[in-house]
Amino acid sequence: MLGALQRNSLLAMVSGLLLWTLYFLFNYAFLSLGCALGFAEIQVAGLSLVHWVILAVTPLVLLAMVYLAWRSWQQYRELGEAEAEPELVRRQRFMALVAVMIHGLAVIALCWVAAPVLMGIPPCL
Amino acid sequence: MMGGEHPGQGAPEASRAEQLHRRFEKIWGTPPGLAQLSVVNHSNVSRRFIITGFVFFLLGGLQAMLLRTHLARPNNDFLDHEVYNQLFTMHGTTMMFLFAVPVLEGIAFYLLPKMIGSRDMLYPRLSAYGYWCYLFGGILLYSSFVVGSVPDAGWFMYVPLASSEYTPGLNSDFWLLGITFVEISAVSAGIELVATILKARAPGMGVNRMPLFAWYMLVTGFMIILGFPPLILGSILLELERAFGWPFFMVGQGGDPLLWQHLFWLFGHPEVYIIFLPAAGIVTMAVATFARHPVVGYSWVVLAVVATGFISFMIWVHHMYTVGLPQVAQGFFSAASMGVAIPSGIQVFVWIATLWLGRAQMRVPMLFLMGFLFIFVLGGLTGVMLALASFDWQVHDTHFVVAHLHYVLIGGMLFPFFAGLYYWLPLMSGREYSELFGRLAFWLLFIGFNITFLPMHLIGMLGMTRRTYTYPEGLGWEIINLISTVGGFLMAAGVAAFVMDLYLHYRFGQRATANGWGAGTLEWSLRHPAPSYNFISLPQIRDRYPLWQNPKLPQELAQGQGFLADPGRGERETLGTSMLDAKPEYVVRLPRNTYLPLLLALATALLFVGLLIKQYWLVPMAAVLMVAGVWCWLWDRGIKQAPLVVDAGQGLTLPLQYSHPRGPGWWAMGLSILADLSLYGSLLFGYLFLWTVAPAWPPPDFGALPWLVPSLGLGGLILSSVAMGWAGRQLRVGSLPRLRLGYGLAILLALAYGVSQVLLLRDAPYGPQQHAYGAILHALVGCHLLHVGLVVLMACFILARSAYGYVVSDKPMEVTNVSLFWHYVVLQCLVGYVALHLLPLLM
Repeated sequence: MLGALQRNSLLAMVSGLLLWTLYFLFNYAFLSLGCALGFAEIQVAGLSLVHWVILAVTPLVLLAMVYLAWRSWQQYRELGEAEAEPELVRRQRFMALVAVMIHGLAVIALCWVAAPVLMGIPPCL
Repeated sequence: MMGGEHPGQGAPEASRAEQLHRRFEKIWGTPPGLAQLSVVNHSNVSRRFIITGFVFFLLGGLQAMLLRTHLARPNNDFLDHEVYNQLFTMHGTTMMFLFAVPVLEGIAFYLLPKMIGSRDMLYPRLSAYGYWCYLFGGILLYSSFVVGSVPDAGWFMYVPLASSEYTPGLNSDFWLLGITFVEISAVSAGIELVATILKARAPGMGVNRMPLFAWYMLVTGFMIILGFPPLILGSILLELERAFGWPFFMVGQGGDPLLWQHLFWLFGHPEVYIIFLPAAGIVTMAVATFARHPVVGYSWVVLAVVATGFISFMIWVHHMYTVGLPQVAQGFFSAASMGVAIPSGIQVFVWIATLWLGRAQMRVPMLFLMGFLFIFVLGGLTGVMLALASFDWQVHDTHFVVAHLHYVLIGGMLFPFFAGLYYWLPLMSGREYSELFGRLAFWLLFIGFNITFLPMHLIGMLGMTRRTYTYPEGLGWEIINLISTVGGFLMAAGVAAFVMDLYLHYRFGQRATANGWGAGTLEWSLRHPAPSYNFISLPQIRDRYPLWQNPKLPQELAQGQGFLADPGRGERETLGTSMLDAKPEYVVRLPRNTYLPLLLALATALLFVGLLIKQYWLVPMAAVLMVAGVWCWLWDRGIKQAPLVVDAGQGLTLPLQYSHPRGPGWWAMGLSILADLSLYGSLLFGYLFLWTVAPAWPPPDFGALPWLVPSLGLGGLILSSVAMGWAGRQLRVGSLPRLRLGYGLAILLALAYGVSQVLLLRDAPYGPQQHAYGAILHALVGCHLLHVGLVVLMACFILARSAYGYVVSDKPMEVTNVSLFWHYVVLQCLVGYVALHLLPLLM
């Protein structure tokens, strides 16, 4: 299983969007539970607890995605200087580049999904 | 130049190629007469998928024509309201489940092995079984017309309309059971697609060189594996409610109809992309050929496909904006729904850029591609409009939505499907199509489509709801409805022109020249029509467009200058390669023709028919037959006499898949677990969902669940996992008696767990019928019991195999697979225990 998570795996290549999916599900589940169980009613400094938690989680996930993108970019550049095994390097560079793009798109999707929270609509309305 | 010959081929080479062709055909060919029912070869099975799907398309189209005729005039009594309901339900159901998905699977099954340089899909018997399930499921559903209980609650079967209270007859049961039967074929196809794309590509075809169609199908395969189980689960729950009164969706007893909507759309939205992605894959392949230019931005397409796969799973709630969810939640789904336009937009620009840089030839497939681009972009734009919750509230359930979904689905699937058929027809039939009829079909379809559906946006805005039986005069709807109906008949004429063209094509079509389009991908290196075995020898790939890189490749392969060129062993063989770089790992020995898939599907049909006609004694009988069928199916593999290594040609000696711990069987097991995980996850979601909506959970007057016996049972089950792991290690050191000891222990512990679960149900203070809590408790425990029963059977299978000398240390895959599934089931039961016994303590 750990082997599947290593640097050159397809799973690692899509990890940015995997994070986005988990983030999305967390937001939806946390909000729904908050409204169902009542803790969304708790107000802190004019905003709901649900808002605060999502606002706290968002930059963490964002940082993780940026880090993933940056690391893939580093890998892409390092592989550009490699000379041994051109076939292998070409494939690895391709995956590193696609990973950069996927993590980048995940960042956009993350900001986009977080936008409704920033609008400050009451959570359970 | 006739099919099968290649330019520049001398006489001795041609005769050698012909000789090899005859020898391979003997091994792979299709038997005559009724023996064709035993065929498992992908080319045959996929053609059956396509033809059957097309027949269902004609039936669904006929229903649409009846509906349009009825709506042409106000206050029309052409159909009575019951028949009208049945027809729109069956039209949607047929087009989505019996046409779009199976036909695209058929195209993928036909093309993929040819594109990635393999001789077949990895699990040919599973393809055949999937086909029979599809056919029998479709027949089961359509037999509702014969008995007069046609499903009539709409293609998404919303409860409570589809529940026994409002649909007391068998109507909904036909839908639930028929569609679940058909979905067996979808899930098995998903598993097969993923495994074949990842493990059976020609040597050198790294993930950076796969034809883009393979990327599309890889993502589609994963989406099927994860997306179909929620609906299968929903159908099982609704059938349990209808047949046995387990109130999952009944508000009065703690259930919630919204659970059905969630489960349906958890499947239903990915489904739209499961249909669109293969079609977009067809477009991408054909665009490159007609532009005579490699697809611009290969990495961008991969990004778009992967992103579509992820984002499209997170937008299901946009079908449910009007059910009263919190606005912030609607905001999340609205944002994601708009976001999915980004990958779609990327693809549109990639196609335009490729055509821009190349020299597009306006042949019939290209016309359909242009039609696709025009219609799909319009449908995408109305999609972005509908993604806005506030706009959706205004037009929800109106003809605006009907117009939008037809723009997306007909534009996004039907036009690419026709483009693909025209494009690959010479490869399938070995003949040319008629340019004249093709053009006629295109223009009739394109003009007819727009006349039918463009005005529908307007009539939706004017307030005409979808599924409305009839409408009064004076609302300003008459002329628009009439125009739509005229357009619908033009479309029907277009389909008729296509059918005529197809008939003329097979009857009188001229012989096709080899690779007449001058395409660059591997499938065009084959003789036309494509032979049963695909490749005489398998290529070494060095480029994304192997035929553009080396135009002589077809002749080289036909003369046996690649891998596995020697038919001397008389077996069906292809190569298994590594996932990322496609380095040869093993030779896969594929099964020959067999009646087992047909027989197993018949047993499966018996199960579904028993459930439908409520003759439940048939169900265990069918189950026994199915177990016997699968037992024979598996016994046939891992042959004792098979050598450990074989000569793969080109100086390469490789192990057979049986002696490789990660053979195709391991991949099938892993992917099946993924599908099962999705099913179980959906069930857990149902449990938690009902928990949050019910006023008290568990209902306070019911008392607590017994915990001691289930806890002991679970402890034993965890120990069984340890015993299983130990037994697996004993095989590696070659000690069969210890392996048997470990298996025996594990089986006993699993059986003890089963008893503990039965006792739990017996001592639970409520049965499944009083309250949704009892129902979902029984569903969860029933699910655990089913899984434990399955692993016990698997372990017994290994014990029986070991008695006959099949289980040996250098062929470890069976034992590895059973261990993998065993540990998974233990984990599932553990999670179930936490959900049922521990979570309520926390809350």
